[in-house]
Amino acid sequence: MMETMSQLAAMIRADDPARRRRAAARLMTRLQDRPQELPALLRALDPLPEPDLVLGITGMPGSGKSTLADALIARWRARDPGAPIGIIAIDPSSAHGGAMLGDRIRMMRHADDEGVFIRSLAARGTSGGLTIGLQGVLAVLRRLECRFIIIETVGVGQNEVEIVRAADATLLVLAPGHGDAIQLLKSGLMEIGDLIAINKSDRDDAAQVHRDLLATLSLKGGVAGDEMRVLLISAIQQTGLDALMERLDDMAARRREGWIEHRRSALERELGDLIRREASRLAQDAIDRGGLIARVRDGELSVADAAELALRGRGDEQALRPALRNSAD
Amino acid sequence: MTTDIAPIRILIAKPGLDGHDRGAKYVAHILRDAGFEVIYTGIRRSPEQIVRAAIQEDVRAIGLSILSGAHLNIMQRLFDLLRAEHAQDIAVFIGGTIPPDDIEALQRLGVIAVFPPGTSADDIIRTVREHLPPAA
Amino acid sequence: MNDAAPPNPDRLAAEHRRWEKETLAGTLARMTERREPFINDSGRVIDRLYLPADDCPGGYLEGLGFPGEYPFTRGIHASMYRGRLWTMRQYAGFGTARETNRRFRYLLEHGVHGLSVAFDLPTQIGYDSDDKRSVGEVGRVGVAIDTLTDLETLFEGIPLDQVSTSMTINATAPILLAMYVAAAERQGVDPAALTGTLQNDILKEYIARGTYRFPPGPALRLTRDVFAWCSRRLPRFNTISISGYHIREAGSTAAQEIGLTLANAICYIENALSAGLAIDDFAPRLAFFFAAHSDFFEEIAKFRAARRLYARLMKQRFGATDARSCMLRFHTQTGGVTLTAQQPENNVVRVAYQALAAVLGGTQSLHTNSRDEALALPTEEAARIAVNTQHILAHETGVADTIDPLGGSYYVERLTDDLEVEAEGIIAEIQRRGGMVNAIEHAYPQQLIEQSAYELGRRIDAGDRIVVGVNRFAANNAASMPIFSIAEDAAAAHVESLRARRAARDADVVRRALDDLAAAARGEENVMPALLDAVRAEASIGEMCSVLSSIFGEYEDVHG
Repeated sequence: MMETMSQLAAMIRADDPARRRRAAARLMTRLQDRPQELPALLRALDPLPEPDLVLGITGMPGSGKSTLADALIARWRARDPGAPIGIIAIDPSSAHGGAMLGDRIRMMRHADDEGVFIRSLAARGTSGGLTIGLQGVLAVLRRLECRFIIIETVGVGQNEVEIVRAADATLLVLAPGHGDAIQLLKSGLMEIGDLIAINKSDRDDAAQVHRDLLATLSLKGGVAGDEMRVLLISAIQQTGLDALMERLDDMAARRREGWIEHRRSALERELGDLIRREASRLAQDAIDRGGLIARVRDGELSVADAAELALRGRGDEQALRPALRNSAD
Repeated sequence: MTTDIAPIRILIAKPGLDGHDRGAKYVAHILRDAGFEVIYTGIRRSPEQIVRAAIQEDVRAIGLSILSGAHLNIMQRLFDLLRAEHAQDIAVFIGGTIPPDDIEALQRLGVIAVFPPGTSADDIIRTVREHLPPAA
Repeated sequence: MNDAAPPNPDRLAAEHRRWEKETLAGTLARMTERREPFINDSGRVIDRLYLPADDCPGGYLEGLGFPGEYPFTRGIHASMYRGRLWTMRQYAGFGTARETNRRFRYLLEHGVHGLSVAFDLPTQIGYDSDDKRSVGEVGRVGVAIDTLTDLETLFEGIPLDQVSTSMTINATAPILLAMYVAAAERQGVDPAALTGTLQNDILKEYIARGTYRFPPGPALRLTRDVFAWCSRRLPRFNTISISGYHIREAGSTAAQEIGLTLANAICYIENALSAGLAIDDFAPRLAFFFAAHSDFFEEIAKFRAARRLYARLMKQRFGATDARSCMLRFHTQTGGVTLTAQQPENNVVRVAYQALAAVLGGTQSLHTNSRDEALALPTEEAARIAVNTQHILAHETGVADTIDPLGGSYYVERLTDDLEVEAEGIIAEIQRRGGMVNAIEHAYPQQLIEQSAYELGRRIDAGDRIVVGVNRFAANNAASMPIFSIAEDAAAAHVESLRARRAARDADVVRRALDDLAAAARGEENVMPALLDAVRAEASIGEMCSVLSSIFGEYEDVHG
């Protein structure tokens, strides 16, 4: 059942919602497995609707971010049953290449809701092209007319910074009692997080975390209004969620133009990355074929010359000989 | 990634009311160890929830741990739903204690294999790999 | 020889080293040991030889003491099995109330004094038999109870003041208890005369068994209500059986089995204390339930460690002064997951060794599994062998004729000490994480169990842990497969009768009773009186649980 890209692109516009869902899911698989097909996908799905909000959510395990995501989904669905929602849940891959993708379980209350599309992705290692594949999955969700899209991941490290770059805005979730706050304060996400939610605000130690966070924000020479970045919530007790929703609505309204532009440039950044990856692959081929490493090691070639030769790649094989004679002299 | 072949995505779930998930969790772990991407959806799942998740995740196989007298009923419903979703190519496996008379009936419905208690991890992994539908 | 003082520790250590160099080395050179290292099912490395400990914590008097005295390491009664053997309590329960009633009356005619009831999953979770989620589950793993009429049928002709009934029910325990009391009242029996046990251990459902309904907070409130109500109305009823069995069956180690169980106990005790009960008022009624798995000496040590740890906990943490509050009374069941479908006759042998461990460990009551327990309703022969296993143990082996015969074994005492320390560590970690409810909400106990189960599963798959008849000595056997013999018609007939009962009720009375139940649940008062009224009005378990879940919410396991 290996459909072509154009077959799937046609299926995703079919009348039958079952065919649309199946096509969407298959396209997502394709794009994660073969990120180089991103340009073809974008052409096939063009024009892509613009969602209201693509929200990145991350935090340490135990911060309650999944419960929070689940609560947001419930509110969006209740507010506008006609607006589909998409969720991309990203988990790390293990050393052997496998992964346990268990985020769906935290959203089981939406398991019977046709308007919620949940897709779990394994990170598949740094060279796997996750962020390119992620753009592909996002594009498919946009094609499904999703009005709100959540990209959920776990952790506050460099990998997560890269993942949430695909989002319009990022919500960092931390909870007292885990030392999360300290992790977060040291991470690069502090700078890019648009909103910081202190979850489990009903706990006694939540207030201290709040104070610590504000203190650090001001130490870092924060922007006035940094205080406004921080919200106290309790996903389980459903407190502070109205305020969060208001903030998100407000951001979505005010920043819409900017976000549309940002989405375009995020795509272009990934396309640029695709080109660089392919260029790198071709260059590596040339390096191998020309035995360039050995020649640099033996002093036959300078690094700069070797790089030029590598960049000229396949088509310049013949030209390699004369150039080399020149530089060997 | 240590291999160019994309990992196989498989969904593991427990339908019915039984809550003993030790076996399902163990199979999920060993599949992950063998390089699968496992979408584990837990206990008390309805056929509707299982199929919806399988479609959205575009899995190539579904593994169900069943300890319920309703296994024939559940599986009939599951296959009906898979067909309605144009996903009848997904390979379906069952683990659990199933009466011998019912194993044939299940296979006629479309179940690829029933793993009785004590089946080794290697046998499960091998059987699943051998019966997967072609990749997307 | 036996009266010699233990050797000087330095001398012993020196001699041990000498032995290793002079005698052992030669043997090892000729013949390597069978495994390297020897790891047991709990992942514990087992030493070649255990020597007199030079630092037995507290020495004999403090660490072991005498049976029937704090810290009860060697047994909770002064004469143990010399006075009275453990209770031989075998479970039964299947199908309809009518069928189970017949089996109960048969057992009673044959001299059994204790009845044990297993309920089907819809009853355990609180769904009516005609609920669409109940399809295929009605009467399958136990009896189906929807209304008071079903429970009355279950005990028809059985005078409830003359039998002791154990009910394996948790999330819906308050409802079944209300039905039991209402049934007794209709027999003219005073609830104060009732004896028996409710399992009523909801925490282990979240951790290991999966038969939960409401979230932990409201569930603990219900548990508290049962405690408080029974302490006034049913003083002879055991209101909880805090269970490690299911935790172990889910794959935990022996230390985790007792550590998590006692951590649950702490939660329940704090829960009861917060309801204003005094520790010595309810603690003597707390009962426990453990597994007996296959690693023989570790299991014996496990029971001893549990007793000592519990006694210390009750005295030091809760200030119990009544000796009975510090006694760990427990029932044991041999480990179901250790039985194999291949060569089921081997299971008879496994159960015998496990039963022996339970008895050497000092259990108060014991259920021995039938050889095909997991696969089918036990045949009469299989059930008889299971019971005779206990009789042979009791009357032919002599192990019950002295108390704690393995006391003083260097190995068993060392294991007892180690298990106590490990279990204490688990309890401390749970407290550090804010208590058991918090730990459950962060899946800490669940993850411990999952990891242990995974490691043991890996060892079995690798063949490091031999399972006779499965990964060794398999002899071309086919797995014996289950023969479910539940009549489907019986389930359908039961559903029909439920519908008829619903139609025959006074709908207004039911509705008012359910409204009153809702009011009680929303408020702070004890829900038991409202539940009693509701069951008398013939409200169904599904209706009552719907009302409760609309107020309490439903527990969703978000960790998988």
